[in-house]
Amino acid sequence: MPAGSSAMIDESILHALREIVGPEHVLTDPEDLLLYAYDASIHSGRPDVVVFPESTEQVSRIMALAHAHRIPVIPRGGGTNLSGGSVASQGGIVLTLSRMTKVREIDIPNQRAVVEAGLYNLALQEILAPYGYLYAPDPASQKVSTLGGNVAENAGGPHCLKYGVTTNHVLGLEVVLYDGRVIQLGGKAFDTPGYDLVGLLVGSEGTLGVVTAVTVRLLHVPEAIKTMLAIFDDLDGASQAVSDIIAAGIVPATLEMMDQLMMRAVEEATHAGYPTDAEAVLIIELDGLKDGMEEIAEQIVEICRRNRARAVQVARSAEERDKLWAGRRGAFGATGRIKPAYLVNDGTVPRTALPQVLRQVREIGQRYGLPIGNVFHAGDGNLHPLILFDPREEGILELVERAGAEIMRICVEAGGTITGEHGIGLEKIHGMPLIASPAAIQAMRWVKEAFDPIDLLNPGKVLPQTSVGVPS
Amino acid sequence: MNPEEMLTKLERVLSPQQVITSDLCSACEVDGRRPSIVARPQDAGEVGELLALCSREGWGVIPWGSGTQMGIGNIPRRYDVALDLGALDEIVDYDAPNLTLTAGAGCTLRALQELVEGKRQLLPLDPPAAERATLGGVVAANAFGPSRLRYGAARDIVLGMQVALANGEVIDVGGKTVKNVAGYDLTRAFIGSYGTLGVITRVTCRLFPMPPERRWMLIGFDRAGDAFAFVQQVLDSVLLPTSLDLVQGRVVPNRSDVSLWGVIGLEGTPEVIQRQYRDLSAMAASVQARHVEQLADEEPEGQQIRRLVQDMPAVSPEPLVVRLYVPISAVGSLWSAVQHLEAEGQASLNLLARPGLGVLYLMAQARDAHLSLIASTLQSLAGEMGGHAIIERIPAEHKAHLDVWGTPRSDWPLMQALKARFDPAGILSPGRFIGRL
Repeated sequence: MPAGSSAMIDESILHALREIVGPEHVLTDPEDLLLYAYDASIHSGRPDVVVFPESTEQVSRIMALAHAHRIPVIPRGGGTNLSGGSVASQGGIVLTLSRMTKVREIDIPNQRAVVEAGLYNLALQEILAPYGYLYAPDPASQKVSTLGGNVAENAGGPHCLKYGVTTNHVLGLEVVLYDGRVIQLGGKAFDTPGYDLVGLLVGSEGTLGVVTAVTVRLLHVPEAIKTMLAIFDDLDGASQAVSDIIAAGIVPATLEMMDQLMMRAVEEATHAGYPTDAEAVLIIELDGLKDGMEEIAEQIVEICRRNRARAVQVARSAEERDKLWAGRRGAFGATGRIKPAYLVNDGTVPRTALPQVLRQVREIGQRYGLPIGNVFHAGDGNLHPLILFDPREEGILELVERAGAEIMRICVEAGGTITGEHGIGLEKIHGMPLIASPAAIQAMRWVKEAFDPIDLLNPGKVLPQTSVGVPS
Repeated sequence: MNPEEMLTKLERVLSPQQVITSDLCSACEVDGRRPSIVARPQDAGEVGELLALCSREGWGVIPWGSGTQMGIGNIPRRYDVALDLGALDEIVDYDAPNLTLTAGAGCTLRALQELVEGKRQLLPLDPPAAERATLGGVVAANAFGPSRLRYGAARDIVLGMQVALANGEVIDVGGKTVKNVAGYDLTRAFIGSYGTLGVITRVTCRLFPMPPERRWMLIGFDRAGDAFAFVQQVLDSVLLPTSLDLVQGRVVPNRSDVSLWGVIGLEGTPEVIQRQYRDLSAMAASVQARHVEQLADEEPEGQQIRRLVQDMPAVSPEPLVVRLYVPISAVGSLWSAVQHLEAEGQASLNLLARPGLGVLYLMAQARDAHLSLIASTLQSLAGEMGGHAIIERIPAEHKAHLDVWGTPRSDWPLMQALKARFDPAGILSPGRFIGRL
């Protein structure tokens, strides 16, 4: 933590914060602060204070206070960030939106919902289900990740292959700016005149403004869903099947892949029924109208067989489907059975590069002597190699980070990018020059300056401060 | 600015034959203003050089594709150089197995669509005048057509781009994967920025498999109320039509005997199309629709219907064209509200509604003196209904006291701040965007 950051926050500031949100919603005990020093990444940084506002007005007052005293503010949702984006690397105020969970409006005739940023993704899905609607982005963390956090990261999830990412489903935002001003961007109607500021805010990792409410587009729950598990004895066959399915003109709702290491971990944890002796499985889901779906499913089975699938199982009930998905969604957590910690990359490559990139990832794991498990969104080329390690081993962290940097590099070399959905945060900041030229980074900096000229919001994230070199 | 003097300076950054002095300037008129020079750079680097020069000299520069969207915008504050991007027509990377296409901004949409159709793929952008419209222009204007209902607009289809900035730098933003969160999503910022933030020189799009079959369904209604009751049923259902447009009965050739036509695009396997046809027919019957028929897309009549709904806002001859946006359930009330204009004898109207998108195009013939009043009335009306209106076409003299984008909102200072950083000399399409940015 940089020296002096605590000095910014004295008793008078704490008093003012307690006035705004109530004393019970301000944390300053060292033990409490430690809890909020982490997210789901391997990074940490202790805040000086954690506050829990319950309204936009309170957020606005907190920002005005922080602005007046030049105190960094780190917006935080469920703390599930995978790139260190929500840790207080320079101290300051962690502004947690978990109390802002109101559903302001479920507007079925207009197929929109307006909800506050602290609502969990899954909570929204549960509210919508009785109406026969859903919100398409469904990150694996949906049980514990918030809509505001999903917006900040432009979250993806398994269903992006067909439905796109968060930015394709968010139409409006209520945002508190760095100085406390509250503005409305977009709304229920499409194409608000002017620059697409909603598009800029989505994925900005809490560095441009504090999103307090979100207007999302709702979709009908599809009439029919068919979930299949294809089992492969070699990784190449599985990745080739992915490319072949797409090449056949089929757009499944999901096309997920899991390798042997991950299946073993998941089986121990959840008993989802994955074959632990197979090299890889694909979870393939079709959705839409029921008419003709059977034929498309048969086509997929045929493609898998042609790529040497050992078997293709079709979920026969909602329970079977849920079980398959529970294993997938719980996969990251299940790795705890192998090693206590992991670093997950999420480089994304053109689909056809998958077989080669997966081989390279395996080779990197062997070279560093680190186990790497893969569970990922194969349909859109979004890798999730989990580098498993025990942080108590001396010098291991450096090794893990070097392996991670190599994986980023091979993704870029394969025509892809360093992060598909987890964000830059702190973790990949040194990787930015791999995919953005100094001029492009400068253009991003203009955006930051336009929204937050004094670098108050989540400082030190996303943009490298100077044009730093890439670690080799 | 003296064209001779400009020419000398331009020749330092562009080869002389790429700068066209006078004769084509009339073809690049914007709101009655003519540029002093038309420049036709050969690559993105030259575009950058040209923009850097314009920034140094303070010359107003307006990028041009084929000009199909150039009516949209306020009067340029300054217009010295028309930047013709027609030479940037390279197919950079057609990656069919990965369903992506990267092409120069000057490629026509039609050419790109023919290219990908050869591999049974689809680039689902169908704005008005698609046979002339260029990729860069469509993206800069976020122009869309009927199939936005299923595929989204440029905002959803574009994965990345190359942009020349006002300072002369050429940058790549986004990439060629659907998921990409490395840094700020500048791609979204340039889409729909109408050449005021940078000049798009190259675009990477997502492609889709060509559906096995495409058909049109026509449903005739006697009353607007019936048509919107039908639309509500469709939108409440699990059906997934590709497009859903409503037009006035008289505009459909040989079928002018009903009050409104619903024009619905269907695609997919034959089973999916037939299922939707069956359900939609039942919904139509429930509101006493009079005619229901089906046309194959590849038949001449199907093509005629496609062009009718796709091109209407561009080819319709009226002097006033307004694109109104409201929340989707309000399109029916908007349709009846605007008809008061006709009932009160203020204007004769041609209407095109895309209810699933919350969009209504209004094309009006009226006494010239009334046009600005009608336009601003429509802007307020859309605002009251939770939306907004963009004046797509109006004679330039009316633009002097009317912002065609409507009144700036609480996000306006941020837009100014962005513009000030990306274009500090204020040379990119100066004055044309919202609030005369």
